[in-house]
Amino acid sequence: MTIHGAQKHKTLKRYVLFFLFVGPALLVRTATSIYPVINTFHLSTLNYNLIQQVREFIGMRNFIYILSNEMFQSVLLFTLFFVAVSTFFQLLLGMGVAHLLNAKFIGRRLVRTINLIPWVIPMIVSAYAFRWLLAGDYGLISDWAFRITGSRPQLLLQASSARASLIAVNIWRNTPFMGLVILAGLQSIPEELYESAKMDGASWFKRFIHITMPASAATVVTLGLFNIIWQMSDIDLVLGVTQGGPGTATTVLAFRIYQHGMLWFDWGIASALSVLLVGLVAVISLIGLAIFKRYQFTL
Amino acid sequence: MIHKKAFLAVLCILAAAAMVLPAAGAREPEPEKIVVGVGGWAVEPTQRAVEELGFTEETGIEVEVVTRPGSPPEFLSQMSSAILGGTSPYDVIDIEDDVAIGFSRSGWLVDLDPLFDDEFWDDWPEAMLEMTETWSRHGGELFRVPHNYEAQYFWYRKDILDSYGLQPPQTWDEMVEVGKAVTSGDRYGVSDGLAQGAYLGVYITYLTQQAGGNVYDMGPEFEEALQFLYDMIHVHEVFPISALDKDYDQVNNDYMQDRVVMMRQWPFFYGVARSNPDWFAEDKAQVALPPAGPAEQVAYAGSWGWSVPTTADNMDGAMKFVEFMSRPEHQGPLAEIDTWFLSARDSCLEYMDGRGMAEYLELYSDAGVIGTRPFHPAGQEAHTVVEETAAAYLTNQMTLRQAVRQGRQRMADLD
Amino acid sequence: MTAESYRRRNTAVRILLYLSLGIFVFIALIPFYWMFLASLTPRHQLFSIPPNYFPDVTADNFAALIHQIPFIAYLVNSLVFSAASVLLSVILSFLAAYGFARIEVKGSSILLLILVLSMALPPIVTVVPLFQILRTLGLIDTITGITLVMGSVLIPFSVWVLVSFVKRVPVEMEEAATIDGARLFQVLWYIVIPAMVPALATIIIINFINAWNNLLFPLVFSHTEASKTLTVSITEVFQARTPYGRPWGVISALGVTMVVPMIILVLTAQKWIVSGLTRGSIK
Repeated sequence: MTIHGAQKHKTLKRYVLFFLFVGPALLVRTATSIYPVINTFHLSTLNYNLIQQVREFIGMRNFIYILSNEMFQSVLLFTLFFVAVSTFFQLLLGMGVAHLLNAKFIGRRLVRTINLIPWVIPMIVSAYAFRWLLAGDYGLISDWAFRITGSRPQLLLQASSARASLIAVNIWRNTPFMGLVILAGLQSIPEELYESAKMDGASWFKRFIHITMPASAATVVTLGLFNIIWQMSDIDLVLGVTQGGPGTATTVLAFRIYQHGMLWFDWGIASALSVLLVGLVAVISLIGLAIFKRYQFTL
Repeated sequence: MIHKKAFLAVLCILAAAAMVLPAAGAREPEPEKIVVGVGGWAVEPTQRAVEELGFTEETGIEVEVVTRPGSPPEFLSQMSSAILGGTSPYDVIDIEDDVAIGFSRSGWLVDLDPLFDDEFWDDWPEAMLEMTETWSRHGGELFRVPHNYEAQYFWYRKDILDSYGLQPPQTWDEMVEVGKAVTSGDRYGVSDGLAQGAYLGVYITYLTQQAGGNVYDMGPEFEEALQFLYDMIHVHEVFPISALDKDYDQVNNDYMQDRVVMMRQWPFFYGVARSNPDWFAEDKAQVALPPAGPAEQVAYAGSWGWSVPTTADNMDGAMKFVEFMSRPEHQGPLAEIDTWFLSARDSCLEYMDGRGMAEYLELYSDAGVIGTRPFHPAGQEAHTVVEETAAAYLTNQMTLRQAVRQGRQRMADLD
Repeated sequence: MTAESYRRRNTAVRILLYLSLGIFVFIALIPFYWMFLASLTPRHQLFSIPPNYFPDVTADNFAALIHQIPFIAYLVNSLVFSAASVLLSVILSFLAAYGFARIEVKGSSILLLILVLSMALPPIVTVVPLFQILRTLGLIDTITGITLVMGSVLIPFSVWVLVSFVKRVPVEMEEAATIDGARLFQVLWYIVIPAMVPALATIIIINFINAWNNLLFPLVFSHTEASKTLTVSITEVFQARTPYGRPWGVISALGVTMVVPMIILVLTAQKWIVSGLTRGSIK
């Protein structure tokens, strides 16, 4: 065997070995995630309904129907609003929480543990707990409001307050996670760096921008992005807190997909909505990748 | 050497097992059996019915009663995968109206007509026959035999109305008047469980029918019904807005805590009221005929019934079971076992002789106020459109006109 | 600044700090307080206005769990489903992470990127096609079916975290071992895995939490007690088990039984959870 041949043989062996290791994971992901998403694109061009027993090709008609329908328009708008407002407050409050938990105080370990609780509890459980908390007649919040103002707010029965409640619960759930990630960044900064910046008279804000942010930026951006995407595709929260009501005021895209796909078996529309959701996710991911490139983060 | 010994021991055990197991399996022929799937709350009554009526003695077929998935979509997706695989977890199923639409249109249910001769239907009152025609037949085939007939009743506090010298209302307008007279503080004249997700749609359907229309047409009657409910809540303030967030349990609770004077409710409230002895008295939970709407005095009924999937393992046994449970002579005893089996069939009402809930069913049946539930082939999706349309208006997100316009567009797109 | 004013300012800061902490802890825990209270409240006191802050304590709601729903079956399903998903995801992810970190081939980093980015594919979007796939395979309403999809969903994050940990294992150790003639799998077993015990523990815990909390897959692919988990049972009690209403007491009791194991887990394994979530950036 020539040296060249041996080299080639060795490379081949390395590729085989690589796929032995990586192959199973890739295979499973392709079969249960990548293929289904591609399949969804195909299904979105069908009028496909299990209850009415139809399955026919209709091209883009599902999309035309969705995009020209006022109800779907408002669902799409609310989805974007929901994610944008949630993310903004999660970042803001997450920073607050991170600083709070970074301070020195008695019982810090315990409080840091408590911080994890909203995040490790099944979402559906906290969603029901909040629904019960916000209930118009029997809820805690309504009772307190009654004691203070003399009237019982029906928070889940007005579009604006139901939306606010849903977003608030979402923030409640995800802020601790943000806080945790930012806290990790804070802790990786040597104490001296802060002290010397303080000595130089840098304000809190400046220290934050120039020291804190860079330290945790890669993780915050990555996890923050995935977090946004997960929130967009989550149905547990809406299912538990408002079930999309009153009317369709708090219906988000993912919840609509669930209703069309698994409650009404209207698979054509469900798939078309899915394609729209994938589109939104793709846009957000591209923005994320751009940020990564710009700041030269690595995975 | 331990390894070798252990290996031998395992081998011996396996060999022994291999010899014993088939022998055990072939011991004697299994007795014939059917599996009956019913809602969780109906398992126990069904078991008792099978025992007390002696189904197994008569046919030699054992019956296993199991719980089927509670919500229609879940049940639909379970059966869709089972039937695709040519099997079925149940030989007989107890299904409600919602499920009946999906299953029958999918061609998953056996035609039950051959089980019954013409004489069999003489036992059925006109209104029940009409309901069966709409909800239990498709393409000329009978895919379900109803075993109950659940109308919606108008419950009221006779004690409170008496104290005001009032009679139960006969019309919508009177309901508002009576409501105004008795509403005070935490107590409302009228209430209902109107949470979205199957509750709200029921009431809107009920009111629309009283206004003379079919809710799925979303015609002027639908608007009239919505307007009426809206006015009761926001204008006359005899109906709490919080009802829009309540389920039946909660409104029953409000009723039994003296916060509601009149409500529409399904027959199960009869038992609920009596299971609260501290509160209960006969004149606290009386039933009157429903207040008439502008067009009709009517309250529609829903029903559950027996069906047999086309892929049932024991088709023959399943058919025998359905025939057995539907016999006229069994209707009375069944209703005695549980109101779950109470229907307006002549044999049933005669046997019950006005005992329990049968008194009210007779009242409604004789007055001819029980209507047929309006039908839509898209079932739950259409129902959701109704609810979302109604809720958008009732919670002041849209004007009536806007809401109805959107609703009509969505309803038209369903076809 | 005088020492006095400095101290006074310091005290004010301390008070503010503890006040914020108090508010923070209060907000974080308030729904659980309300849920625990409801789970102990007798049915007839639950819907009172104003709410009953000091109800007669009862265990009825917990007893109802056993009597009204197949609680034990759901609990066992939840445990088996979570454990199996963890096993599947951790084994596949560990192998993949090792491959990505140690075996240099062209295109490896782009594959890793694709794999990690597939984390962004919303599971809800895959539900309809997956339903058809599982139905064809006869895996609807089986634990195998939901485990397969859940295990898969957990892979990208696990690989992402594990790659960074594999890279931290000094490669010299492995090279020394290979020169000694040890086979690759022996290297993995005796050198890489022991060095990665903390990382693996972290991923196991996080994946377990995620699987335990998952609602979507059992919600759409499970129909009976053969494969339903606790998360689904709570929605089931909420809307379907009785046709008439929502037994909030039972829902709350069910919630409590799901929350308590998680709280215990957090109390005992906080450090590992945090290091995994932040990809080991905590020192």
